[in-house]
Amino acid sequence: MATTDSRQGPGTLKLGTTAPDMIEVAPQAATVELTPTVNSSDGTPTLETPSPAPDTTIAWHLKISAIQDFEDPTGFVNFLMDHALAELAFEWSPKAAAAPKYAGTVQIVPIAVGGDVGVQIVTDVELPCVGIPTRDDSGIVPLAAEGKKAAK
Amino acid sequence: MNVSAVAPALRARAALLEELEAAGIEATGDSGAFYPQPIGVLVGLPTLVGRLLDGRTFTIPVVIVAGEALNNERIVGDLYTIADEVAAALSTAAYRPISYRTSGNADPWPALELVATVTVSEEG
Repeated sequence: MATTDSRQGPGTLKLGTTAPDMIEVAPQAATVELTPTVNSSDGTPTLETPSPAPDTTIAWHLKISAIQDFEDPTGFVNFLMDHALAELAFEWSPKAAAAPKYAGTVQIVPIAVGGDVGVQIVTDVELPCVGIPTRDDSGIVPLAAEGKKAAK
Repeated sequence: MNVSAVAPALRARAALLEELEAAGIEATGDSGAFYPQPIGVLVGLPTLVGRLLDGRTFTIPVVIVAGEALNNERIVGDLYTIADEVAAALSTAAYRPISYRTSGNADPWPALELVATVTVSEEG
């Protein structure tokens, strides 16, 4: 079976839906990650179920590493500062020309401002998701290798 | 191979040249025609150092070259003054002395080199 090597870019990442409460983050974003945080604890054995499944909860975060643009009044750094704690929709296409697309709601938190003097500053921010993000695979074209297999 | 769109590296280089021009600094990317009289600014070739979701980040060397030996305070002062102007125009913190070699001159010219960071979008 052939290796599938998925790489990001060129893509898009929108926070919010309508201006001025919307921003396209892609020009600033060096890293975009939808990360699950898994919390798990042992279930309590009972007489009826001596080996219960673990009690597990899953929370998602949208992690972004972005080049700081604090000189831009409508840039990413100031957008996060101005919309702190707001809940905004997000839509992320790791590859704009192809699926999948991920969407959901994130709670906005500010990003650190500033850093080393005289060099490009890349800063991380982690936006907690409200609920579970959705994935839209409808634009995925089957891989060529898979298509050949199906034709046999 | 057909290449119709302007390569991001070339757009990054053009953007840097425009930035220098806007700051009133005469610079060129044409090393063949480059001849510092008495001081010239040459923009080198971009190095791809990072990819963004919708763009690329390049570092581009900029060399400030003295066309004569640094044997008096005036030419040394002029070289560093222009280097400071270039560094300010490109928001770059550091520069360093180097020797600039060219086939058009037997001896290397004294120079200062700084490295600018330029980010351009994926599509021009």
